[in-house]
This record gives sequence, structure tokens and C-alpha cells, in this order.
Amino acid sequence: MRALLKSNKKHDIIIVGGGATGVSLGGALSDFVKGSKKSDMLTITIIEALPTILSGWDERLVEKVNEVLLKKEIRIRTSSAVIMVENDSGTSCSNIYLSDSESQIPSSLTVWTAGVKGYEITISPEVEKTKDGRIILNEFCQIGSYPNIFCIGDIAAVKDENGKLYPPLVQIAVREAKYLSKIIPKHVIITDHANLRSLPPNEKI
Amino acid sequence: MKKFEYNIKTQLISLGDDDYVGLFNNHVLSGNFAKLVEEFSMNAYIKMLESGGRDFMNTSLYGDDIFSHLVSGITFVRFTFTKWL
Repeated sequence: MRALLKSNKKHDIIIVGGGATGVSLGGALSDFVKGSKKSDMLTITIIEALPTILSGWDERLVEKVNEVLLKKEIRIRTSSAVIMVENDSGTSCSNIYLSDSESQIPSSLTVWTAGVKGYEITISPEVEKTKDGRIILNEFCQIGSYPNIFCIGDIAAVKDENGKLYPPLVQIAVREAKYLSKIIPKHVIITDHANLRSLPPNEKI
Repeated sequence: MKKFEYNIKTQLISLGDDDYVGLFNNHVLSGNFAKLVEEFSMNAYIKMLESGGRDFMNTSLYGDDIFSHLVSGITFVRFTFTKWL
């Protein structure tokens, strides 16, 4: 950063990912740059693949964050995924290729903040997953087709009452853990009472 | 079985040295108050981890019932006073 600020060229800082980390970093970098005399030589851009930054967050909050970022002169490019980053051998810059544009954009500093993903696990037969690899669950944190498998945390994609996915945040993970600590004992008791146990192949009820 | 549902009580984000934006009990916050809530929720999270989830005062921030709302409110007031003193 300091090297960029010392040079007399215009520079682009690209933050890939408009989640909490990317947005927060953009704000912090903007403040850092603002303190410099050459602040007008640097532009900060946040690139987000989804239609909005802070996807899954409260809409009023997202609107307020957009306002603050705009005041800080941070550019936001949504619905645009980075498909390739190529080093320009002649300069120390990179070229960034986006899914929604045929041209590439230059970057003097690229910070990758995208990529909170669900742990890659193979379940056979396959289960439905979101784009970021989270397993889509029913309202009881269960995999619909596997009622004895519960998921919580970053791997879990549970919908709220409006059909919107809860964001992968610590509050949700803690709450899911608390929820399961109450639900699982009941689930076990219910299955015991109903005699739902696996039977050897030749045994009949 | 009871369904999983969670009303997100606190959502905060830092956008620089003095810019904080957040949501606390369904109200959008900004400025110093949002910063205070951010410090409070971080403090509560650390204490919850340190106690292995047994510190009810701080774990209540993640509850979604009336009792948890009440306790987290009291904990927040206590945190604010401690900070001022």
C-alpha cells in the first residue's frame, strides 16, 4: 500500500468478494488512503458475484452500508464474478477477467476475500447444495432425504420464514448448536418409541 | 419438532476507523453507538467461548426468547457502565 502511495501513477485496488470481510476491508483501506496526499491516485473497487453486497444481511443495513461506501468513493460492482486473474509480466499489475465483461480490468493490488465455503463432503446419493457448497436443509436443520443427518455452521443452508437463506454467521451457528442440543434428544426418543431401527435383511415386523 | 428460526438480533460491520453500521434489536445504528454495540458483542462472544458456553449473561446474546432479550439488555447496560467508569 505504501509503495503504491509513493508512486506517481494511478492505481486500482480490487477487493474480490463483497461479504463482511471485503466490505470492512474496503472501508478500512479507504480511510488509510484518505490520510495520504495522493489519495486521488488510488481507486478501490469491490467485486461481488451476487446481486448485492452483504448477501443475506438485513436489507436496511445493506442500504446504509452502500451509502457509507459511496461517500468513501469506493466502487461496487455486483453480479460480476472474477473468472481469472492474470499477472502482467511487463508490470507488477494484474489483469482481472470478469464474467459480465469481455474486457479485463487492471489491478495493482488484488485482495481475495471471497470463498467462505461449506466443507466438501461426498454424500451418496447426492444432496442439494448452494453455489458455495452449503447443504440445503429443511426447517429442522436436517437433510431432507436423510432425516438422521443434521448440519450446522458454515455447511448448513437453512431458510428463514421468508424463504431466504440465513447468512453463514457466528450468531446463526451458535443458535443452530443450541437448537440441535434441544432437538436431538427428542428426535432420539421419538425414534425409539416408534421402533424405527434398522432391521437385518430377512427380519420382518 | 419445533422449527429452527432465528431473529438476528445483532449485525454489525466496521467500515473504517470511525464508521460502524449495525442492526441491534431491529434498529439500524451508526456512529458511536454502533461501535459500542460492536465492542459489546465481541466481548460477549469471547467470554462465551472462554466459559465454554456456560456464562449465561454473555450467551444470552444468542438466545431468541424474551428472557434472553432481557438478560442481554441488562448485560449491555452493565457493559456500557463498566466502560464509562
